[in-house]
Amino acid sequence: MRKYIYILSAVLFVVAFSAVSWSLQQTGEITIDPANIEIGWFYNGTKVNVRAIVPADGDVVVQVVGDMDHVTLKKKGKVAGVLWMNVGEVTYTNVPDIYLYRSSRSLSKMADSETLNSLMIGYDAIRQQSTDGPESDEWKLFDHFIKLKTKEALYSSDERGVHFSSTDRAGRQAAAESFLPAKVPGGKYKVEVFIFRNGRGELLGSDEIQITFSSYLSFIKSLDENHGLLYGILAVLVALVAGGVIGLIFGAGKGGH
Amino acid sequence: MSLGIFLPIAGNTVNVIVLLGLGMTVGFLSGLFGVGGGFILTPLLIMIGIPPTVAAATDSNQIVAASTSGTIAHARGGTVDVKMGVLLLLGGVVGGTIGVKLVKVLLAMGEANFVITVTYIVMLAGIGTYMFIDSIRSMRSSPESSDEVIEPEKPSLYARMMDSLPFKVEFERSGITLSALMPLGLGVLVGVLSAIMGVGGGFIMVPIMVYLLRMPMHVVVGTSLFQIMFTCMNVTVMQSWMNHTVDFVLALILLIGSTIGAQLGAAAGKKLKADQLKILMSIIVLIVMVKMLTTLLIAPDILLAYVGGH
Repeated sequence: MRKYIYILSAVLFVVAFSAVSWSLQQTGEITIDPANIEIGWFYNGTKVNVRAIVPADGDVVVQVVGDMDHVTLKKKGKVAGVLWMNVGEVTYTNVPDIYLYRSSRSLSKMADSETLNSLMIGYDAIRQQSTDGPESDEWKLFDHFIKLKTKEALYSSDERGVHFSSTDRAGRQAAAESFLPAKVPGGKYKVEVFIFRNGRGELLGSDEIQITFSSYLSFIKSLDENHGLLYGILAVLVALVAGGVIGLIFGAGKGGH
Repeated sequence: MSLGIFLPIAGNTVNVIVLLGLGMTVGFLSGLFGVGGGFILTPLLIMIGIPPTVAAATDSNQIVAASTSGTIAHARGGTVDVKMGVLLLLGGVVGGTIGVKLVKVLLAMGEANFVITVTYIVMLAGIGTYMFIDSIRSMRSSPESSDEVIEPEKPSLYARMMDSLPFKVEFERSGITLSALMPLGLGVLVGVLSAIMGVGGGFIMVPIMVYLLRMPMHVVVGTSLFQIMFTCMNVTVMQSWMNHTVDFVLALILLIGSTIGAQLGAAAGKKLKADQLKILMSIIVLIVMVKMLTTLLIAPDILLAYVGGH
C-alpha cells in the first residue's frame, strides 16, 4: 500500500511541477495571428489577434506601435474674426505612425500617469514625449491630432478590449483584437503586452508584426521612388493613349451613324 | 467580394465603383465646360482617404486623359483653336513661373493667405454673377442666340484698346482677329492666378476667353481643353519627378471613367446653345464659390490637417 502511495505522490509531484513550470515558461509568451501580412491588390486591412499568457491577477495592456516619426500639420484658426483658414503649422516630434492599444480596464484605474508615461502607454504618454509642454500649440491641439489619426483608423483605443480565458492559479490567457487598416505603411510593428498590479506596471513580453507588399506593388513603388521622371512620363503616355483611344472609339461610333 | 483596390502610392484601399463614378462625373463636366475639374475631384478624393498631395497630383494625371479625349471630341467638330491655345499656353507657362515666385513673396508678407482667398472668392462671385446675368439677358433678348461672338453695338474703351494693340493675328477657328499680345498676356494672368490659388484655372480661363478674348463659347470649351491637356502633362511629370505623388493605379481607374465622361460631356455640349452652356458654367462657378465660402465660415471639427492638396 505504501508503495502505491509513493508512486502516486511521485506522479502528482511530477504533474504539478510540470504544470507550474509550463505556466512559468509560457507567461509573457505572445502569439500573433497573423504575424506576417502581405499587401496585395485587394488588401482591405486585417484583424490581428494577439494572445498572451499572463499571470492570474492584475490588469493587462496590449498595444501595437509603429515607427516613430515627425509629423507636420496645418493648423486652422479664425482670421479677421470670421474665416477659418490655415494659420500656421504644428510639428509633433517622435510620434508613432500607428498606435492601437487595448486594455482590460481604464488606464487611469490601473496606474498613475507617471507610470503610464514611463512605459509609453496611452495617448497622454504620446502627448508628453512629442510636444514642448502645456504652453505649446502642439500640446493644446493634441486632441485634434488624436481625432485626425483616429479618423484614419491609424490610432485606436479600447479600454475593455482585453479578454481573459483559461483562468487557473498559475496563469490566464489574455486576448485582444486590433484592426490594422489598409492605410498602414509597410514595415515592422511592435506588439507589447504589459501587466499592471497594485499601480505598478511592467513589460511582460513583446513581438512583431511584419507587413510587406506583393511583388507587383513593390515594383510600382520602387519605380516611383527610384525613377520618378520615367514613372511620370509613362503615366502621361498611358493617359494620352487612353484618352486618344476612347476619343477615337467614340469618333468611330459616330462615323457609323 | 469587396470591390476595394489597394493603391500603391496613395497607400490605401478604395472602392473601384466609387472611383469610376467620380471619374465619369468629372470627365462629363470637363467635356461640357472645358474645365479640368480638379477643384471638384481633389477634395472628393481626399474625402475618400487619398492623401492630399497624392490626390492633387494624380488628378492632373487623369485630367491628361480626360482632356485628350475631350479635345479629340471637340477637334472632330472643329471647335479647337490651336493657334489661340498655344499662345495662351505660352503665357500660362510664364505666368505659372512668376506666380510660384509671387506666392513666396506674399507668404513672407504675413496675411497673404487671407488676402489671396478673399480675392479669389470675390473674383469667382464676380465672374459667376456676371456670366449668369449676361446669359439670362442674352437669352431673353434673342431666343435664337447661339454661338455668336460678343459684339457690342458701339466699340467700348476695351474694344478700342484691343484694336490699338500691335501684332494682329487672325484666329480662323474663333473667327476673330486680335493682337497676339492679348492671349499671351491673359495666359500670363491665368498662370499667375493658378499658381497662387493652387488650381488648374479652367474656370477662370473659360470666362476670360468668352468675355475678354470674345471667342465663341463652343470654341472656348475645345480650346480650353486643348490647353489644359498640356498644362496637366507638365504638372504630372513634375509632381512625379520631384514629389513622387502620382498614383498611377488611381489615375488609371479614374481615367477610364473620365475619358468616357468627357465624350458624353462634349456630346451634351453640342446639344446646348452657347447661352445655356454659359448659364450652367456660371452656376458651377458660383457653386465653387459658395462651397469655398462655406468651408471658410463653418468651424472645422478637426483643427489640424495634412499638408498638401488644393
